[in-house]
Amino acid sequence: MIKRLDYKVPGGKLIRIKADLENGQIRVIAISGDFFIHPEDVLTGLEDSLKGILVSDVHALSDAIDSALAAATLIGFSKQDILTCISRID
Amino acid sequence: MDTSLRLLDTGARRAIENMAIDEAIMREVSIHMSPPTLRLYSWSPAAISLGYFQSLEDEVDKDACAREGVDIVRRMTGGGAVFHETELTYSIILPEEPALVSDDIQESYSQLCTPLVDALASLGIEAEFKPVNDIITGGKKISGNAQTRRDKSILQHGTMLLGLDVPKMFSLLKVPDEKMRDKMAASAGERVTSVTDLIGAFSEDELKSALSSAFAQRLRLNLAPGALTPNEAALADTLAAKYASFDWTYKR
Repeated sequence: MIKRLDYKVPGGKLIRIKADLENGQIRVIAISGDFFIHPEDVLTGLEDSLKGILVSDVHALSDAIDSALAAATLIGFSKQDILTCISRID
Repeated sequence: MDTSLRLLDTGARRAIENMAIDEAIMREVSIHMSPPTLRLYSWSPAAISLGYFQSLEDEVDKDACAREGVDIVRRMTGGGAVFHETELTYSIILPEEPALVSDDIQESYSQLCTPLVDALASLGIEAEFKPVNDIITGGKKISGNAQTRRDKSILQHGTMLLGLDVPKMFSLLKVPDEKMRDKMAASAGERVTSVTDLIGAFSEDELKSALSSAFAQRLRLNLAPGALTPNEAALADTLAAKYASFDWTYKR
């Protein structure tokens, strides 16, 4: 089932999540918005590493986000904001 | 160390060329084949540029753009969708070493936006940098800016709004609720302004010259008018195909 969620970070940017979920598990996820990530290409890696994770499994989501974005600089949002969005999507 | 800031005025071009030229310069600066560069340009035809991470389908009304003859291009930088019509666009491309601005990205936005604030001041417009990436005057946005850092170089490009057609802009962008379109356009009119709205007639040449001088002064470099190198021009031709491609445009 395709789920969408838009989340405006207070004082920051808009994060849009579109995910295909099967029994709460992420099959495919797309994260878009008007934020900045340096370097830019890490976002695709994050989307790939989120596949197969249950959106209710906050620890697994958090680990995937931390590890994919370990060396990245986020501007206009935080790792916590992404976690909040994804865990609210179902 | 070379202490010159090359000044390029590439005039009005198509969206794909504009984005290709920016990337071509950045690549050549990365390998120290091109000097620190300030480029001034504009857009013909008018265009929507989309942030690197934005979803085209979510943000842009493609049919409306096609009807109005407005191009759509995805930028190499993050940030939001911008309608480029009556504006002065700049890009500043610098090597990361030797460092000319802070290695802290948010701090460097502030540093690289200061020359725009200076240029507006020369027109009698009092403005200030507002984090993350805007310049505001009287509480309204007059400039948006976006930065990327790749291969040891920094590119920041942005706009200074010279005029503004808010209803047209909103006819090209998707809005969450169609019933909200007029209301959103009205509230955008409250939040965005332009040089013409503020002071009426002005000399664009003087503004360009004030902006160029301000960049040179703030970066402590000597302004040196120049042209694209043959390498940059050839690279830009190749990169234009990428910016025109379906894969790039519909990346998200």
